Amino acid sequence: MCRINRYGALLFLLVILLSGCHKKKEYIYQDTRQWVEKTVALVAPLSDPIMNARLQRTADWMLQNIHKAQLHDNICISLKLEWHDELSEDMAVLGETLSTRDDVMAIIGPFDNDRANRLAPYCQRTGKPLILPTATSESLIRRFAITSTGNGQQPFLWSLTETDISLSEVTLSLYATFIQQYPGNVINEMASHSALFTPDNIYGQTFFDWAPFQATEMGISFSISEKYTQNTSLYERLQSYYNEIDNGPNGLFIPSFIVAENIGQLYQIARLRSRHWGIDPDDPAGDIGEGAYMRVAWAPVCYALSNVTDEAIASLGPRGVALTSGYQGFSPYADPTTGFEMSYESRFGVKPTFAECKFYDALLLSAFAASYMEHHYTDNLNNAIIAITTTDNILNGAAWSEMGMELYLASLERGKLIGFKGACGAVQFDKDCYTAALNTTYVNWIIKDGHVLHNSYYSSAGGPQTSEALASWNWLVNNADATFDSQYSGSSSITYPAMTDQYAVLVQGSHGWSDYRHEADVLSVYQMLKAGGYDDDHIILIMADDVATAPENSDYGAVRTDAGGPNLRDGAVIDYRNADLMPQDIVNILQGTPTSNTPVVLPGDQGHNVFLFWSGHGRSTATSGVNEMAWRDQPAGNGMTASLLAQTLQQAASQGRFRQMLVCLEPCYSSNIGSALEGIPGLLAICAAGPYEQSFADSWSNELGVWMCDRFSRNLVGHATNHPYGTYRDLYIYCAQHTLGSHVSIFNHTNFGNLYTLQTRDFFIKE
Amino acid sequence: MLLMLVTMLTSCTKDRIILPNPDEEQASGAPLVIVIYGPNSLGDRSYCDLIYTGVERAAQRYGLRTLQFSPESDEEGLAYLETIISEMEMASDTVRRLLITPGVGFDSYIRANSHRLESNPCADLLYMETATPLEGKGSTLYLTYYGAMYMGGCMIHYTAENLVSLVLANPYTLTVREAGEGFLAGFNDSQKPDSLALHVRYLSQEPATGFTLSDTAAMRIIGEESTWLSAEPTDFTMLPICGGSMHSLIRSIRGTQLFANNQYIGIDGNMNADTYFCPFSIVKHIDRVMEDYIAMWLNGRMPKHQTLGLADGATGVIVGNPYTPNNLHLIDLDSLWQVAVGKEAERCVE
Repeated sequence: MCRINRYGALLFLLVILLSGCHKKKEYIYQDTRQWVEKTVALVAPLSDPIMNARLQRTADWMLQNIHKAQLHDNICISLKLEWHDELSEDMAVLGETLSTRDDVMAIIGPFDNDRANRLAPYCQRTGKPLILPTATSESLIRRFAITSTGNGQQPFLWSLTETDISLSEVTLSLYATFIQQYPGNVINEMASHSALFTPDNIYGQTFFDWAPFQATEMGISFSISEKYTQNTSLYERLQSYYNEIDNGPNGLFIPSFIVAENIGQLYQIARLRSRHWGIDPDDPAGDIGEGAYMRVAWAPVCYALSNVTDEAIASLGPRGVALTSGYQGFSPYADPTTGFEMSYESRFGVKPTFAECKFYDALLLSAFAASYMEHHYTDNLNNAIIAITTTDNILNGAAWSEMGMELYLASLERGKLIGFKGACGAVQFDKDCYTAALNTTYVNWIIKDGHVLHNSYYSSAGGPQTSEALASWNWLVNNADATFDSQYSGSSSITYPAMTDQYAVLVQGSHGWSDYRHEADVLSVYQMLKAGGYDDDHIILIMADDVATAPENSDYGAVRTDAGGPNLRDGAVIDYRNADLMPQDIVNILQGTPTSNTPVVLPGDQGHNVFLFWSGHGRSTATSGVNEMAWRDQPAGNGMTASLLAQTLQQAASQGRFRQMLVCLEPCYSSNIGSALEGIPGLLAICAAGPYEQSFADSWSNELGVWMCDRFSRNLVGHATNHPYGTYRDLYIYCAQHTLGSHVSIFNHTNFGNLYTLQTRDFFIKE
Repeated sequence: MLLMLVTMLTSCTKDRIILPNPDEEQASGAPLVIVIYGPNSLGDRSYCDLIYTGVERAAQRYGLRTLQFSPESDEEGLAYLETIISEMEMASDTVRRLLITPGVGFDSYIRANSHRLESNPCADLLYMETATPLEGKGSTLYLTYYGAMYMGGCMIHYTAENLVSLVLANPYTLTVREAGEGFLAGFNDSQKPDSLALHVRYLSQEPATGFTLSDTAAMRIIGEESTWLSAEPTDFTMLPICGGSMHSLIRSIRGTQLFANNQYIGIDGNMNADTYFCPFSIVKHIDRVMEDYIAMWLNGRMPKHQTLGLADGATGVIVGNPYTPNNLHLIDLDSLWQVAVGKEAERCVE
């Protein structure tokens, strides 16, 4: 029985097994490919119905292409898009939320510079990849993409477009070409009466900062360089500008440059221009022939305006369509050789906007980097982006189309790492700071009968977009020697009495946490002099002294020009807090006139060498009606004006209060001050910025949230420290080459001496 | 017993058969159109861009897949050609593939290798810009510009003042030479009495060159043309038959807008957007031709060779809007078209 039971049990087991086996013999159908879902948050202007519709259809097209392109692959990426409206949602809240969500692989957008600037800090904190399709503000990119990366720091912000420094140059270079064809009096007048109007925001700031510098390179001067806060102020100012140039003999030839933000502005400007030249903007009779020519060609306006659409022009109504016809401008765009623009137009019947071209590439970059992650078993999207965008091995042919994607992804699946060309051209970042786009194409658009047409395309030089490469903007890098020789080789020797002593007056004109850099600069010069042998009896140090112990200072008690650099506040003996003084007190100090407010003054002697250094903000007649170095919060006109400083130093020279004086001025537009000092015997002025130029900050601190120094002062101290026996020529050329974004200038050299032989040590080193 | 059990278990495991999911989405087998352009020619806003647009429109209409290459050099273009022709030659599937190339620099390669496609009945070739049919597999297509240019030569008497500057890339390239001859014939046949001067300039004396021009060189040429008639700058109208060089010349002409009324005639594409400078354009409707050709290919009716021109609607003239006054209204354009068609036909017979 037991034996039977045992066999019975075995038989039962066998039956079960066979039954089970029978079930498992059923064919099992499995997908050959694995789809991996990745969520990307899109922060876009969805409340704008035109942009919403365009971005949605662009996304649909891209997703359709990437889906089909992967049907030959084993591991496939499925992008799940989560849309957010940048026009209605709070960027701080959104940034806080999205940047901490593990399920969000990356964020694309915002598309607006100011909103991107508000969201970026949250992503920086968590390292969440932030892909910005259309952010072009130089300060935004420099702050988050360039300065905060490199040297082993983790990049997080991926800017797909070069900064508007390039757009500004492209816009101006067309005009430069125009000017060069027609030398003569007319051109001279044009070159000195052109105007620049920019919006008063982070977007317009790039043009405001850089266009005057670039214009100087090209022989153009802006008589007006202004920011507008509201459209009405722009129109009013334009009206008065046209009234001004109408009074000149060649007013109708003088062009202006307007950085616009929407097509409505063009329409209103067209109406204003029509009225100004006697054409009724509401009368269709003026739409063709002479009326149209006057409206468009007289005192022509060149616009920088992106994302102009046929739909937006149509929304202006029939008069808007008629009056905007003929206007033209520039925008970042897609490289026409990729075919994206034409494919889009074939598909949707209109041209894609700048935003759509870059948006498509942002999605493409996300998908390709995600695919790289899956194939290389890494979970860091930022590293994946670095890997696929910094290779020299570029897939020829654009990878944005279905077939192009298929080729690219097939290569990735085979383990081959290559770069790619997207809708806008090669998607590449520099190898040092990673996050700055290397290629941008610009389009010269023109409106005709309500349609946006494209005249020409431009691109930047194509060099790496690192701070090193920014040097290409400054022709002095290549021509500094020759320029200096041509200007200053006639410097003659001047006989001076023997030098008996050396003094320095170091002044910070600004105050407050955001002006941290100005205090750091003045302390940096102070420490340089101390290291050079100066004692505190020979330095009069005037500064705000309000950042070392400021509540915002997480490095409490310290002031540095570089993170990790020495604490410059250490041992500094401050003679005056600038809060206790006014510019007239500085005059008394320089003229050696002691008062109850200024007991410590500069001793005067014809054997003394005096070094005057000034950091802070500047104003110019073009921007504020007066050339001056601003004094704290004092309104325009109450600072150290060019005339007041000139008068002060001229009097000191006349009274024999110094042997030689070196004046180094850091503020914006400081050349206006330097030129006012021409003629004063024994004085040499070196100024950081031209008459229309900003003086740029350098070295952004993520921890402190401020710029830590200015470029000019960094270069001045760096060169003087490293080359104690250098000449003024050496110092000038070094500063000119390395002070990017402004033209360092020398004034009054003929009244000072031979810049080739005199050494800067007479001011910087005390023996 | 235990052995039997193990065997059964093992065999049971082996009997699990995993098959591809028949409902899984499959890769597309739609016909594929591949275009390889001449070096750096895509994005020209005229001829090649029109080809691209036509191919994309056809792809939209007929559900095709496309792959369009714009090589950066002849060598790269030839490498693409070799890769694509090899793949088409070796393909064992039934996907239909059409290779199109408008690159005249690939002529000897195409003629030497087109026969390799004979092994694949699903592969085909369309070689453009040649009037000489292929001996091996593949079709050829040529657009003659003679008639349209003839029209332009007549019309320019009604838009230009003082001087017409005919700028040709070189004296050797067939399409350039023919276009220049058509324009000159029309210019000389015009019945309008005037003293309009004509200056012919070649950008290069070397075959297959003159198609790229720096802006600096273009500015110099514009300056020379404006003083060709007299020492004092004189307005002129330029007809730039020189490929990509055209854009540099047009940019420079636009740059003169405040000081002169220089004009240009648009070539290949409709360039009348900037109507202050462009009274009319002489165009090739190659986009429409491409759509038609792809449709014929899909239907298996692509001709071995065709020469198309004004009579076929493959070329024509588009007049700009009357922003700038001209006298084109004095011409009967329909009659002129008929004359030009006749002239083109006569030339083809010759």
